[in-house]
Amino acid sequence: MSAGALRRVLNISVPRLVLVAMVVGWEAAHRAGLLPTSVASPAQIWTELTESYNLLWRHARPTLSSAVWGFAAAVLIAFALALVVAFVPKLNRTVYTSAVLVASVPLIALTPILVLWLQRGAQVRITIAAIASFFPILIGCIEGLRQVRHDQAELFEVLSAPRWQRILRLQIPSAVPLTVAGLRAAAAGAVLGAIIAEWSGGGGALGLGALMSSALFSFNVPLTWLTITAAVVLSVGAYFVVMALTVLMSRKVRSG
Amino acid sequence: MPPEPEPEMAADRPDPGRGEPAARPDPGGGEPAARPDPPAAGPDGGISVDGLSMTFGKEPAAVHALDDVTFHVPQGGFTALIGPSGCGKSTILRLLADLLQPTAGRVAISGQAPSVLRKQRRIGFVFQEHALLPWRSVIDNIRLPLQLSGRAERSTASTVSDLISLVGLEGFEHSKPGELSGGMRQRVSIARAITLSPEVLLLDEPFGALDEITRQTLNIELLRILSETGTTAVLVTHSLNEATLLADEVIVLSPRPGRVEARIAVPLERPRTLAMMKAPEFFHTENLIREALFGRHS
Repeated sequence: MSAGALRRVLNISVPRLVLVAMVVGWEAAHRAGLLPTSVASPAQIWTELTESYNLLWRHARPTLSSAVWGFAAAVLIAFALALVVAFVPKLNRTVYTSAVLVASVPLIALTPILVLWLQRGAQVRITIAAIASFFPILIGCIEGLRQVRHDQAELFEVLSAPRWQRILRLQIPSAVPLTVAGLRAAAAGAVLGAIIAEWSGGGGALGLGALMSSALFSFNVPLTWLTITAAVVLSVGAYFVVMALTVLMSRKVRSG
Repeated sequence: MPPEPEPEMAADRPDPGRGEPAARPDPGGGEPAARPDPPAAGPDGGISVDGLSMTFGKEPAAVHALDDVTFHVPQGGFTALIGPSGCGKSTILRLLADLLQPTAGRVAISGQAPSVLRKQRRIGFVFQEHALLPWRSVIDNIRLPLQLSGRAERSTASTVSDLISLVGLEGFEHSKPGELSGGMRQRVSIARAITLSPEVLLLDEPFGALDEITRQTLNIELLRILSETGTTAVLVTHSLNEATLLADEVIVLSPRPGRVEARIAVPLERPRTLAMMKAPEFFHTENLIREALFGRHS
């Protein structure tokens, strides 16, 4: 086995071992009576999953689609705003300040307001998911577009490049690494945003958040923990999907 | 004591507030377009630098980078600027390229202001650290000036492949800069700088990071390329040896503020060869530069 292959195996298997160790430790602690009754054990969560698989899936699907659409909307708006700032650098502070304000609004309070305005449903879940993932994407793009090497900027100046050429051929390719970082940081936020909206009743009776809150208030400990686990799995999954997409995106942008 | 540029500038532009330090008329923010008369063409075109002074920032924190620098590079000539760090060598190149505006004095290239040449993309610049775009292949880096000037599609194929063979990079067209050696990257950088057949080529320590062997090979190749294109060249360098091998005239600058310390003509014939580095004239010229640089205490 080559050193590279060994490293690859270690990279994959070490985090897995840690995960397995955590689950085993959790189960052991539960059996030893070290955990409060409000914490379900991995075995209980597993049993719950086999019993309520259909229920879980019915609720996970709308959460997933809200997160995807919310994330897509956030990406579109953030990319557009970042481009506007690249063309009109004077707007930088204005855009930043507004984005910080939007990102600072407590989403849990925003949901009821949006419900009054937009009605309960997917539109509220998507909006909250978009707001929750918007900020890191925007910061990644704006800062990325400013990551231009000094000598490369001088090259474009010597060549008297028009601003749009500079943005297209220098700033956007230079922005890729930070944009990717922003997208990855935002992925889990979209899922959590959708869940928050559902949890506080913004999405109607469907969604992982809604399932979680109903399980919680009916003291169904295994179901509560099953939905928590599902939320974690979705968020982590979102991160990896975005990571795969951004690898493709970097190749595309940087090849042209 | 050093702020000599004050009278310089006053001589250049009539200034009622002359003599009162308080009424200093903001030399840094001056607009070059407002110069009274367009710079006169040199005797034969080429590059004319006349009374060039450059101050960065405002008093009392002002840095006087250049003071009354005057020289002329004839059409098709090769001048090297040499001097200790901080003598403003790179500043001179940036003033020639219209990347900076002088505090006082004027520059004319073929009788025109650098801003005119830059807008018409008649200036080639080779950067210290190549400034290649790492996400583009060799061929796409060389093509960049064509794309930026909107002449991409027409002449591309033949021009770019000619350039690639001119700098000896056949077979590496589709490599990325990260896959090339330092010397090869500078070859790409030189090819890119001459893609649009500029009238002047400005080289900012292009071979400074290379080993001696690669550097001398590239020096000779640069001369060959310039003799094929007839381009006027100004090179900033730290190397006495390189300056002597390449230039017709070596201008030695003093540090902070940069002033012309000496102008040394290189009495070697063209085409230059590496063998000339063993000639007594070569040593003699190198020693003249060394004396001008280190002066009395050498």
